[in-house]
Amino acid sequence: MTLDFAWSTASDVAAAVNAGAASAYDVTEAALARLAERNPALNAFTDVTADRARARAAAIDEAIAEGKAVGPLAGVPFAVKNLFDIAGLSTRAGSKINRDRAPATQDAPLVARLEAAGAVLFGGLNMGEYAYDFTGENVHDGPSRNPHDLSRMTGGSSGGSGGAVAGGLVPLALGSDTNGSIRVPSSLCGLFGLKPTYGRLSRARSFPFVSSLDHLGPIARTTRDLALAYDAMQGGDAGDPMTANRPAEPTMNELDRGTDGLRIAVAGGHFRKGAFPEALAALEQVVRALGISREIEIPEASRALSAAYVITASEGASLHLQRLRERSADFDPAVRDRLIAGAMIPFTYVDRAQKFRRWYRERILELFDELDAIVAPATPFTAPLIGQQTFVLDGVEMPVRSNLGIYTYPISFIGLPAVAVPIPLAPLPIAVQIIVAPWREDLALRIAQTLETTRTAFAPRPSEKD
Amino acid sequence: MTEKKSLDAYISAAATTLKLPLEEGWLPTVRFNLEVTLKHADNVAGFALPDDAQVAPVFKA
Repeated sequence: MTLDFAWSTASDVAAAVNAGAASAYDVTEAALARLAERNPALNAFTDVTADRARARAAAIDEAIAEGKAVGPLAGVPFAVKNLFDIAGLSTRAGSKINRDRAPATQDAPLVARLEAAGAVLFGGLNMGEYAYDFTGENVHDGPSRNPHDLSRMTGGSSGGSGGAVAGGLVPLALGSDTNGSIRVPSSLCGLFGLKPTYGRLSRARSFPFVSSLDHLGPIARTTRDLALAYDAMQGGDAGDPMTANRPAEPTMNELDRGTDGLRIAVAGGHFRKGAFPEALAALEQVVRALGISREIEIPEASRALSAAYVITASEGASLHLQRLRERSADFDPAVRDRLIAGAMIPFTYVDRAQKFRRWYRERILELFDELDAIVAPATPFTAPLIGQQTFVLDGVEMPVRSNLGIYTYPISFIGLPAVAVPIPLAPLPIAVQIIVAPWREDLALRIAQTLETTRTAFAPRPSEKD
Repeated sequence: MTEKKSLDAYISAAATTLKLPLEEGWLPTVRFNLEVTLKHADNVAGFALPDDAQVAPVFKA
């Protein structure tokens, strides 16, 4: 069996390694060679753990030779946003300041769980400083570059995660999503991304941003790979007090059940405002493919965006208060000035936002009494140019940064799970969100798989004509 | 006092009170970010909530 490792899915790599058709070591060497060739252009990796990867791959091959079960991700290369602890590395979280921290003594639990399922860690990935970002740009490490057009943003803050997977460096990466940081790069890079329910996956030993909004999750080139990784990472963890005490609910065997009988609506109102034609075209393709005839309004979605914005600014500033006092010169100036402003928000407003949050949650949960899923755009436009500050819509100039997340904020604000599915428009892809009720990631993945099976959604391969 | 001057005075006082550094060149960006955030805050504050509304400081899905 011959595999083009760079563009093989995680499922295919694992099947080949488990069947003895390929060795984990050969997969690793091919991926390291590919990484050395393409990462200088993509700037996706900030740390490459080559020795560790080789040792891990050799151990997997040895276990297979001894007839031992290795796991459903046998030999699959993966990498993580550099806010995850990787033993032996300082967890930089996209910052200059954190490089002074002592190296992590243990891997983050999600890294450990993927490795326990047979995957091979390749290193840490570029990201926006302290995750306060939607662009994938970083003043310390340089911008992550979009594999579909190197002059364009990957989206962020999990920019390296998007670039590494879309660029064929690894088939699987982990990111974090506070207000959209998995779904935005999935949209701009043309990938599948899962932001699970708040509390589903452990965030232990990852550098936080806004604890009450932070989620971790996978990015991949297929729905099946998302499910493989997600299933391997589920389960409670005492290390993260916010992790729900729920048993794992595997999704892999649910993927091919189709969408018959599912009640799916498209979001209108807020989720149409500010959308460029390509975002609406992608949404329309999904609506047609799923036979959706119902449009609903998510009540007060724009106010939910505002509340998430306020909580983020305030909680983020609280997290970094001492660093702002002592090391302000070492921040990305754009992040520093946002955090300083966030520190000045009166508590009165934050309290109102938290109270509104509960009200909003209750209204949205009522929608799911009569619906199984809602589809909405993931971003209002395709990848902007790196460094682009503004865009013009209907003659009005607006900032790129804050607008990239207008459709993702109102969903993560109350912890709803969502899968971003890539619609391969030309010249650039863009994603649609499949939003479901808490703990129903299985439904979102089923719908994503249906869209992939009908080729409405798939991760397009970049031309690599640099 | 104009609205801009009033906000600048607030930023300056808040920076001193919070022991945050604030160089003169940072002020326009800090002001811009604060203005945007306060606009969002006003949007939320304008929503009528019952007096017994409870906060959701730690969200449980």
